[in-house]
Amino acid sequence: MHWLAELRIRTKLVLITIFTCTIALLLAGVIIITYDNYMYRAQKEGEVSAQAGILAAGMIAALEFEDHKSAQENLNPLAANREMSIAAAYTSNGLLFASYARPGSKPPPSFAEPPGQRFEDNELIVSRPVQHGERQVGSVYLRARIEPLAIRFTRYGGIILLAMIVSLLITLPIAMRLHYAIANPVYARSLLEASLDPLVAINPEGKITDVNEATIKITGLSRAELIGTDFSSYFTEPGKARASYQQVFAQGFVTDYPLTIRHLDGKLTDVLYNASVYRDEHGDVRGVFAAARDVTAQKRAEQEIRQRTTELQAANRELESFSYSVSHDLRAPLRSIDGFSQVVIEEYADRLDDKGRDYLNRVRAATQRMSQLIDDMLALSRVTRTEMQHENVDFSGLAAEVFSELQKSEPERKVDWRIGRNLVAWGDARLLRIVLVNLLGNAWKYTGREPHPRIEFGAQRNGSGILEFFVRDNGTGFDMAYADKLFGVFQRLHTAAEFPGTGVGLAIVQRIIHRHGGQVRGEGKSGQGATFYFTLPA
Amino acid sequence: MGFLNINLGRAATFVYTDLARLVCLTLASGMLTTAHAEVDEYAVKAAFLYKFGLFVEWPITAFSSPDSPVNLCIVGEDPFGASLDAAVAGELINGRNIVIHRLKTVERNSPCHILYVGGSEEQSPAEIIEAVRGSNILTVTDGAISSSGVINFVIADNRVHFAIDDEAAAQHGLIISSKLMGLALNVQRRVVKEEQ
Repeated sequence: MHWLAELRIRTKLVLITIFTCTIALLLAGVIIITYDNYMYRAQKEGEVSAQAGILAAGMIAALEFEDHKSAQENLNPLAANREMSIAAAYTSNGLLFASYARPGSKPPPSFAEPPGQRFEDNELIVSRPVQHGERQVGSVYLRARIEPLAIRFTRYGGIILLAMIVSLLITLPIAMRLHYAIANPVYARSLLEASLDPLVAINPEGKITDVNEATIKITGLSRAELIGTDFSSYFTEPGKARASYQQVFAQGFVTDYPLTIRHLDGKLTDVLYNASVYRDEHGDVRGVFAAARDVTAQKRAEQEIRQRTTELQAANRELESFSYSVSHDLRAPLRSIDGFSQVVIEEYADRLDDKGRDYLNRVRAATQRMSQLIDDMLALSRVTRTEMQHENVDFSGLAAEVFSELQKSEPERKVDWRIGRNLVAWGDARLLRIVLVNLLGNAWKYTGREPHPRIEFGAQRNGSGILEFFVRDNGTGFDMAYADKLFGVFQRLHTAAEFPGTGVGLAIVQRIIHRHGGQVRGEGKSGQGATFYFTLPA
Repeated sequence: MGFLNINLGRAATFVYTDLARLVCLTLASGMLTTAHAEVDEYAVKAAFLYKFGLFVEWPITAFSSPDSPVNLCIVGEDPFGASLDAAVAGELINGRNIVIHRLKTVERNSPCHILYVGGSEEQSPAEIIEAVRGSNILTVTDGAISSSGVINFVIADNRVHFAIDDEAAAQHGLIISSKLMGLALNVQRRVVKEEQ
């Protein structure tokens, strides 16, 4: 019966219905056929023996006076009974006196049978004495066909089959409906138990009416102990718990309602409750269905993250103030070195040979360079620290401004400027200006050796439909193999002798773009110029 | 009808004489010949004669007591001889014994129940019928054309048949069973009188 257990409840119900119907009808059929057959035979016996009685009464005179003709006249009307195959009269000596035989049936026995009746080969045979007062003047013999049992079986079989079909047509829809009545609770229960979240049903009085296994686990109490008790009594804050389901009844639901469940052994579980009212089939509110989500792990993780963040922020602040003070404090000795080197060059010029002067000049250049590095580092840290103020920025205007400043720094250089029209960006104007200063400055710098320098600032939609700004030049360019080093702090693809610079500019650009939520990348080829793309999400 | 059920204790026997059995067999085979008929006719009639009594109801006053026998009278010529005694031997009519009386003449008060009208010069059949008119006697005539009795033997198809005059039976205060009338060749219906 293993296969039966695996069937769906609906299928089982239908099978049970069919099975029951069939058994009931078959049983009823057998009883009906048996009873009917019994009744039929009893009726036939009654009929035929009555006929035999009538025949016997009519035969008295004919037998007494040996009137064959009259006897035959008495027998002949039996031909009207289609079931009567043989009718015969015998004298008191048992000799055949007169007979009637339906064509096709075997002849009557030539001697009278002893009185009685019996069934033989689907025929009922009745033999009956002919009494005249106390005298037996002979006997009559009747043989009547009876309907074979097989024919009755066939006929009833058809009726039962029809009844079965009709009753199945009636009962199957009922079974289907029953399926909902029976299977739904089972299905609903299995769904409840399948949930890993503690589920509770509460009635309007705040008493628990149903729980699932997860609730049993989280409280440490059995189902029986939980049902009928007050919902709020299992929380560290019963008042808050009570307020939660009162709110559900008032509003229809609550979401992410924080509570703490107390286990029997004292263990606490932080949960968020989602609860809503449930209704019966008439739509009336029957209670609250509440699902708790165990958020202990999340809470712990959140706390950890919060702590880490705090620590990280502290460390960052420390680092920044450190680097700021370092940078700041480093400038004082540098100034001394530079200042005194200058004093030596100027005051002791006559005592210095060319070589000494050259060395001192180098010292000064190095200190100035270091000072520049420190400035850049400070700038970088400022970029990171400053608070952003977003606004619509006129990128085209900004770019033109930066160009004119660059032009002023080297008035003799002729550069072909191309600035896209009406370029607008959403961001911090001051920081975006630094981006343009760096990118356009680089372009200016690396086209210094170009006979026909050209610098372009514009915008275009990339493959994903996102607006990309770009700064393109036809300068020195770079080898794409080093593309990943472009944006590193103090990373340089050229020596300071070739092109001056500290290698902080692109690092600053990247940091600003990232702070705006955008992306930046560079494309180039050695000797064929470079293009820097960046996005600024609106 | 009470007297009809008397002597129920006595087992009914039904014994044909050898002659009667022969008649029966020959009739059954349908090969009755005239020669046989002449020999057998009166044997058959003898059997019929007392059997008529089985189908006739007499008024209760016709018998002096419940045990009184049925008197079978032959008036005048007796064509049966010993065959009648043989046919009647051991037989009963409704529990009553049968006693045969052979009479020369008959009158109204003769103690007869069944009367075979043989007739003689002393008393012709018509005179006999006339003599017993109104008595409770079942008169049986043989082939009479006029003045027949209640029952009249007739030969037809080489067989012994009989006709019944039910009106005469009524006049004699007798009730003849319809079963017997069913066998009769001819039945003279009784005149139904409105009862006062």
